[in-house]
Amino acid sequence: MRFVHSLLLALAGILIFGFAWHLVVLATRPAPLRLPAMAFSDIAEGKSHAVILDSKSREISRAIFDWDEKSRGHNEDTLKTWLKAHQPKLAGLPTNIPAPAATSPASKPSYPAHSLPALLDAAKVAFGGGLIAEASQAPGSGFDQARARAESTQIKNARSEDWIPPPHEALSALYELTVSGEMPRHIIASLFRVAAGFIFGALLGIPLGLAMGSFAWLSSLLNSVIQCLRPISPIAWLPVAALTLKGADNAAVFIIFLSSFFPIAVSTAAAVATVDLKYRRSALNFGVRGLDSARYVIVPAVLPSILTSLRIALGISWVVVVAAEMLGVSAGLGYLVNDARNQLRFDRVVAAMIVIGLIGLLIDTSIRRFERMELERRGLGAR
Amino acid sequence: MSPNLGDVFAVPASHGASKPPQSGSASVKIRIAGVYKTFKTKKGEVPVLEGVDLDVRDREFLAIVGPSGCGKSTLLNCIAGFEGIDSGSIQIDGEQVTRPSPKRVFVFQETGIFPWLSVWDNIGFGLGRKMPFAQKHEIVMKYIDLVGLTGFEKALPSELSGGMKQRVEFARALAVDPDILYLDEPFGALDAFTRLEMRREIVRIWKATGKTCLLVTHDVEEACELADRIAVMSKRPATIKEIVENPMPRPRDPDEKAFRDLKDHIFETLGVERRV
Ligand SMILES: Nc1ncnc2c1ncn2[C@@H]1O[C@H](COP(=O)(O)OP(=O)(O)OP(=O)(O)O)[C@@H](O)[C@H]1O
Ligand SMILES: [Mg+2]
Repeated sequence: MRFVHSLLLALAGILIFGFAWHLVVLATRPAPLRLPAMAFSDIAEGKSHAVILDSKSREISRAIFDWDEKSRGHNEDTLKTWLKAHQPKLAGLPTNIPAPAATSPASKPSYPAHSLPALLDAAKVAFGGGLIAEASQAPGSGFDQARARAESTQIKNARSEDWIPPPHEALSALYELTVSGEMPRHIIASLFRVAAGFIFGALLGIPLGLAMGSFAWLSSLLNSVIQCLRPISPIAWLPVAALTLKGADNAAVFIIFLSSFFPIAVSTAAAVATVDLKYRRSALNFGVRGLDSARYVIVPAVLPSILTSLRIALGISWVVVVAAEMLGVSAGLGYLVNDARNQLRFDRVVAAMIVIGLIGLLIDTSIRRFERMELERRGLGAR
Repeated sequence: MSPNLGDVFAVPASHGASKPPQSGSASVKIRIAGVYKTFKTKKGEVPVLEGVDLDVRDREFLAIVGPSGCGKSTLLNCIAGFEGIDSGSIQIDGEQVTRPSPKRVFVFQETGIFPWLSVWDNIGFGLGRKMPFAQKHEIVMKYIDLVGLTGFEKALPSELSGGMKQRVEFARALAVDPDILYLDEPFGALDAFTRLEMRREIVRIWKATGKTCLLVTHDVEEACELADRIAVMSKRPATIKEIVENPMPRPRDPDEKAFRDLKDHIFETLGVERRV
């Protein structure tokens, strides 16, 4: 019951967040670029049209060109002349529309494919770009189809470069990446790095922390070194690590190791040092000392603290791995973020961010569950 | 030795009939002679024990009372071997105490049972891990019965009341069958009702098992109710001011004149005005 309750609350939180996100997108969205002109071919007619549009994408002026079988193209000179004649009408209109890739015809054209790009090129020459080409097979429907396609292309192009993608786009990018198998590949790569580095970090950090907490001399010996190395961001180790460890992959694992090792060792040591004297004395009293005392008294006593430090270290590792993967590796969520950014695919960037966040949450809650179990066992932190 | 449960339930009601086991006549169990102890802190030295002499007889119930902060816990920790002493000697059965031993178990001021272990595991803790399960189970169950926690074997300390935890600690201490129990204000953290009940309980257990009990408390009434003899400590740096014999037979009634006189005498020795 409590579970359902908190699940509903969590869902509500996600909805509110998504709504806020969408509001931000709307608020920061640039005004849609206006389409000043477009060209399309009506395949059924065997003719091409060039149209100049007004501010509401309504037709102002149209020229129709015949298909020239001999030159297998349009009479470009005619087009140019027409466009020149209409230049004044176009003068006040924006022409910086991102040049679209020539949209391919909806279905197989019986019409030579190169004719549209040719038309487009001619238009570009005439007024510096901003034409959309489209082919249509249904007689008479060319204009509407072309306009719809042109507008959507325009929006899409503008969006992927200048806009924060709205939630539904990020989700569809997420779906695409998941179905294509790319996302699982990156997730596995990142998880593997984190697991490898973290396991090393824990395997060395816990025993060292236990030893440092138990022996004051060891703590004095290592403390200053550790406290000096600890504030260095693991990312700062990347160049050195890549140089010595031969390869960005090893370097990333090493960096995760560092990010987990220090917090685990330091907080385990601190926890051991504060184990209640009466537990130590109870153990001593019953003749339990040395390694037995460590195993049966100290470790159980500090287990909640160790679990907390593991959770925090894993959280740090998960943060750090994304940064570490931005250099030199070819898989992983950090790589995905960087790669998508380079391709101006911000919908993918956000999709990767969503996945990073969700996995972080999953890791945190699963360890927190153990932690809570151990705390409740000890009569602490029960709610 | 095993506790004689039959004895426990057969506590006679009439005064004088119940005599503590071998009280008064027994040989010396713990000999404390000229013990000095100073804590060295950053702010300087804190002399706590300044020549403490005390003999604890075998199987007796001895209470140490004294003002707060006078060094009662320190003395008990030294006797238990948890802390070293600067000079003097502490001998048990003629041997110098150097470290704690399962033959002498300490019951802590606030319960020292392990919160991560069940009642069963806590009580079995001192028996070691090499003991065969069946034997261990028999012992553990015996002491669970003795302290009246039957049915709570699997419970965790966090599921128990303060008094029950204290019973678990007694059971854990008794399970290793020690000669001596060191009790450092074992009822300090309990409410008045539970404390009363636990006092009865500890007398019952002491009679049943015949341990030497060394109780530290700042509650004079508690000392008078429980102990055969009461050692009164001075303020810090502490010595033993006086050892008071408690002639009263058990069960004891705090409203009896002899009891009140004994209390008054101890308060007088402590130099405390009893009336508010
Ligand atoms: N580890 C320590 N380091 C320094 N001083 C200590 C230490 N332990 C105890 N003391 C000091 O020794 C004195 C006696 O402490 P102790 O705990 O023995 O008192 P106590 O008689 O048990 O008091 P209470 O009745 O309040 O439990 C106190 O003044 C305390 O400040
Ligand atoms: Mg004390």
